[in-house]
Amino acid sequence: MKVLIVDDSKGMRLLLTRALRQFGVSEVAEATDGQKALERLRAGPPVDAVMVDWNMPALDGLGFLKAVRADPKLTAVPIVMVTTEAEAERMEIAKSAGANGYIIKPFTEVTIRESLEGLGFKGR
Amino acid sequence: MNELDIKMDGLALAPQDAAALLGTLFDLQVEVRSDSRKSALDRGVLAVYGSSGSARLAFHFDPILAAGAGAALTRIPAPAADEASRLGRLPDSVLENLCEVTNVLGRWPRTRWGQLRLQTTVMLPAALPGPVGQALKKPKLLATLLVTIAGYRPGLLTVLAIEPAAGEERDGR
Repeated sequence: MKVLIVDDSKGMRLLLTRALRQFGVSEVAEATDGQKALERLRAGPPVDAVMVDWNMPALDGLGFLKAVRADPKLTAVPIVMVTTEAEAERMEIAKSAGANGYIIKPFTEVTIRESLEGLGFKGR
Repeated sequence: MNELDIKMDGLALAPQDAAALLGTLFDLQVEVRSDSRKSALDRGVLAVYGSSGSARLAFHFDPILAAGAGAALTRIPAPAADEASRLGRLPDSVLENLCEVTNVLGRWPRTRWGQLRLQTTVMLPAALPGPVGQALKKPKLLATLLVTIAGYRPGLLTVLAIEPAAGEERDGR
């Protein structure tokens, strides 16, 4: 399983990578903002899921989500928002834009596991 | 209601909520309790939070807590954090980590303005304009808290109210 992490915080990318490895993800790719993530997805190789922060420079997580859903070649990739945005209104916005999951920071490894299992992925 | 809860107009902060947030973030035991000491606000790191474009609240991390919290996120060893706090300058990796810590702490205050969002995180000393600069010159202290992250030296977190600039509506609605 290959997952793309999109977060401008190096520390958060590290924490997410640890949690994903714990789940059994074999390959993790990283991008520091939505624009770079979009370029990475378009250039390939394909990933099985994306975990994306909301507040980032260049292109934020919501903009990234909308761009992916508007791209016929990428639209099916599962996307989980991982963010400090905890208000129900924000979650609804993300869901309406096509987010498959929503994790509020700070997270535990169990939260990450449950989210991925909810998307149909099997951990170890 | 916990007797340590911090309250002001439209705002409530419970220390145990901060401990829970930080404990989950670091995956370490974190204790937060009130402290009678006063931090020197000209050093350390200031995180400013607001809503609707207005700054409303700031958290001041003394150099020990700033270094320890930044280090704890990615398990940078405590001696490295101690050295950073002694020198008064945080390495980029620690400061970047601390920015994520301050980002997460934006979830701590319960307010009638909705969720406060991090506006900036600044290493002090720094020239800060407007209400934030005023808040440091004439601080309206809401509380000083001792934050203990397992494995790192305890440090002080000071909660400051930011008075609105002239013409700004206080409640933001």
